[in-house]
Parts: sequence; C-alpha cells; structure tokens
Amino acid sequence: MNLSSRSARMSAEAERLREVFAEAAYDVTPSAVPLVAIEREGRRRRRRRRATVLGAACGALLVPLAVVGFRDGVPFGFGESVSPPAAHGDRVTPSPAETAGRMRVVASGERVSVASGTEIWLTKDGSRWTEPGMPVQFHSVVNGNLDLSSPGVSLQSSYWNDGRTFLSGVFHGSGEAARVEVTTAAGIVHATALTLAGKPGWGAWYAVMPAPPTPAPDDAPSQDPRRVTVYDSSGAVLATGWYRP
Amino acid sequence: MPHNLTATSQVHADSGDFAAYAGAAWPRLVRTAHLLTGDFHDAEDLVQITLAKVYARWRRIPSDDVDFYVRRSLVNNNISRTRKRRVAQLLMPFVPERAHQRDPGHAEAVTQRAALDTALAALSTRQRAVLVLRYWEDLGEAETAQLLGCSVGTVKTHARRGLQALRAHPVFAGRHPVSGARS
Repeated sequence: MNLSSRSARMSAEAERLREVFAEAAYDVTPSAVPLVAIEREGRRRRRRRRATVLGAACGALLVPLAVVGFRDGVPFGFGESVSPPAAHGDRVTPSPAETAGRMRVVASGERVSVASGTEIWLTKDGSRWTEPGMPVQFHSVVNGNLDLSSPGVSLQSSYWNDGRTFLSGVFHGSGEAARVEVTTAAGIVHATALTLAGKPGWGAWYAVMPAPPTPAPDDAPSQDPRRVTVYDSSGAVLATGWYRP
Repeated sequence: MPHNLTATSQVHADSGDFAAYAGAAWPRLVRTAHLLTGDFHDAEDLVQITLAKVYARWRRIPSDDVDFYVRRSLVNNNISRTRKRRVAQLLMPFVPERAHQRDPGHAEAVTQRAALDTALAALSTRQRAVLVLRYWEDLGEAETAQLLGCSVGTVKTHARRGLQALRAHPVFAGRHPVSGARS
C-alpha cells in the first residue's frame, strides 16, 4: 500500500469516527444544569480546602511549639483527655414521617404530594415534579437517554431553604421494584417509589432528608447520597447507583 | 479547530459568570462525558462533580483558559474516578417487551449507542479519552497531549492503538450519514 492510499484510508477512518461520535453525542439529550447543587458542592469543597490549608498551617506552627513544650517538660495539655469528635454517622437521623419508604402504583398524571408545594407524578413518557417557585421539571424515559432494558437509577438533589434536601430520580430495568434505599454518611434513608400500573419497566423515587444540625463543621462528611439501591420484594438488588459524596 | 464550550468562556470574573458558563457548557460537557463513560447517569454525575470542582477554584482560573481547564478536569476526573461501576444485576429472566417497543427510531438509536459503548469499552481509559478529544472535541495532537499531560508521541500511540482496536468493530465497518446536526 502506497503512502497516499494509506493516508486516504486513515482520513476516511477519522471522518467515520467523527460521524459515529457525533451520532452518539447528539443522540443524548442533557437535562437542565443542576446549578444549585453544583454551586453548593463547590462551596463545600472550597470550605474543606480552606480548612485543610488552615489546619496544615496550624499544624506546622504547633509542631515546633510542641517539641519545645516536651523538651521543657510541659506537654501543652497533650496529657489531658481529648474526646474524639462525635461520629458523624449518627448525627442525622431521618424522621420516620419523612422517610417512610414504600412502593406506590399510581395512575398516569396522578400527583403525589411530597411536601408543601412539592409534587411528583408519572406519565407514560417520564417523571415530572414541581417545587415552590420553580417550573415543572421533567425526566424523560423515552428521549433515548436511558436504556430501559438495563438496570439503572438516577439521582437529583434539590436543597430547600429550610435545610432539608429533596431527593428524587428514575429507576429502570427488569424486575419489579419494591423499595428504594438511599445511603448517606448519616445512614439509610428509605425512599418512596412510584410506578405506573402494568409493569412499564421504570419508576420514580423520592425522599426528603431532614436538615443537618447547624452549624456543620467544615470537615464534616457530606450528607449527600452515596448510593441509591432499588430492591425487589425478596430483597434482591435490582439496580444500584453510586455517587461520589 | 477545537469547539469552544461556551461563548462566555472568555469573560468571567465572579460566580455570576460561573452560572452563565455552566449553563452554556453543560450540554456539550454531558455529551463529551457520555462518550467518555458510556453511561448517561455517570456522564451527568461526572460533569456535576467536575463543575463543582471548577466552581471551588473559579476565581483562580485564568479567564482565557477556562475551556482547557474544564476539559482537563473532566478527563482527569474520569480517569481517576474510583466509583464502583453501576451494579447490573438482572434478576428477572426477561425484559418487559414494552421497553423495546417505544418507537423504531428510539430502539435503533439505543442499539447503535450500545454498540458504540461496547466498542469504546474495550479501550483503555486514556485511549478512549484521546479518541474522544481528537475526534469529538476536535482537539489537535499537541493540545490533546497538553491536556492529558503527556507527549505528542504518546497521544499518537494511544490514537493508533485505539483506532486499531475499533477498526474491526461492526459499528465502524459500515458508513451511515450523520443523523444529528451539530448545534
């Protein structure tokens, strides 16, 4: 094969790859940008970074002082009992009223009240929900973004002014979901699952996480969900979504 | 010529500009992330994490360098993500037929995308990143190398081996018109 034909083949190959990537990319319909969640997570990361830098600076300052203290026989209170920080794991205990997980079969368009001004409902083409002061939001299951034949579960977080967090998402795959659990650093939150009659192969879930105690320390682990798990009635896992806190 | 993620990438000074940037860049970033991960949920999660990190450092990012910084952050986050892969347990022996009968176009699109995902999944994360950056983001070899923190020679090697692996795959064997128009 001479150089020109080889070059032409590679060029055609590259063009074909561009086409295939473009087809796949534009086949996806991104949802609305979750700006509130992004900025909240960004602020949390910024606080943690500053706390880390401050901690390192204090450490660098204190180590020489501690050395001097020990050398002089004064251990700077290091001998006093120091209580470990309270485990964050039991700091947030979702109230039963807010987390009573269950499965509900709803009619298309039937609005389920989550909290004052917040409703969620299903139609044949996806899940919709409203929150106070926000337009109706829509998570489509027919726009080609989701492969409903394989297991999956999505997560959407909405932070309310009162400190509570409204979690919701869509799950899909084979099998019949019976319950949905959300795992956070504080423990497990039992979500409510909704599906349409007739085993459509997908459903929606929601839960309201109570407000964390304030003020939360900078180094406190994020209370954001780490895992969402969909179970069937026998307790077997139908789908799991992992999320980086 | 690489795509600009947004028209606002050249001007930013505070968090107000971040909102404008994120809103404009989000669709393309999700599409790029989808090609990198092969999963819609993972893609949106990856972009969300990336933009949160960008937000945390927004004031330190040079205004004329935002797109590069965001792309590099996206690729690096994808390479380093340690999140376990979504558990895919099929417990029922059948799939509800309705899920496959929405409309022929949808089913075909899902099948086509699944084939591409399968082909790309066979590549290493860096090979995949190189191909996505070169042939979807339209970055040059030098820019791709700078973004990945490697030499141009390494980019060429990744691209050559990636193409070699994809060459035999059926999704690249035929030639079909592009169905999506670039916006």
